[in-house]
Amino acid sequence: MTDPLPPRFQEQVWQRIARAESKPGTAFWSDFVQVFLRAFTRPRVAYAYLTVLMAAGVAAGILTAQAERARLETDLGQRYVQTIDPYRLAASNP
Amino acid sequence: MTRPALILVFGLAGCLAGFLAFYFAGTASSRELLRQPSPELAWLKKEFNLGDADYERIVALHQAYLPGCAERCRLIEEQTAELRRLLEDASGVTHEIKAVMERRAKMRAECEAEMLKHFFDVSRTMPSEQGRRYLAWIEEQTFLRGSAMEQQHHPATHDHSSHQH
Repeated sequence: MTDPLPPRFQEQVWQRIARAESKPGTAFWSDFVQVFLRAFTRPRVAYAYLTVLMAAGVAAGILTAQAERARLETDLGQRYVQTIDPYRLAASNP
Repeated sequence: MTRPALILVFGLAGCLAGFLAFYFAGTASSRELLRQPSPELAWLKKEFNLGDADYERIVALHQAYLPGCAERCRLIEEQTAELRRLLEDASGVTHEIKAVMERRAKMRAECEAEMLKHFFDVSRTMPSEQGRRYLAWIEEQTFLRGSAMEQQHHPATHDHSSHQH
């Protein structure tokens, strides 16, 4: 004995098929994520992924900090010059 | 959450954590400078490797220099205002305009001379090597830089404004 199908079952199935076909990008990304996640079941890939991402974060942090430190220290040097050189103050504020 | 999804999230979280940790550690000294009462003088101490005693003397010299500098600026500004008033009705360079311009130029020269004297005083307060480095840097940053007009006529001098350490 089988349960009866819900009302408008066939219509809903065809609508879902139509929606899936009208958005090929969604299927592509879904497949891509699945492949990506499946790769993590292999320990080597998972460790490599973690290592590369961590290293990328650290490298980005170091480089950004260097740039920020250089900018801040240049600003402070210019602030020192401006306190003792009024002409510089006028020139830097056109 | 599945294990691969957890690995994905841990990777992204690790990336962010690594970035933030090294960013904040790398900028800690600069942020410490900004918390000082006079960040620009604290920068001078760090940049020129000054000891506490040298730093105290330089702060005193700096504080002593500022009121005179402000007064000279006020006098120059008075002459500039006078010049502006005369130029409003002028159709040429009158004797009066020329006299005000000369007075203003003289005051500016006095101001620059006082500034130079201050630079020498500060440089003498530093250890000799740092003093020479300070003097070379500050002279390039101030009156040796010249005006925009001079630089326009002598493009070769553009690079002289670079930070020389």
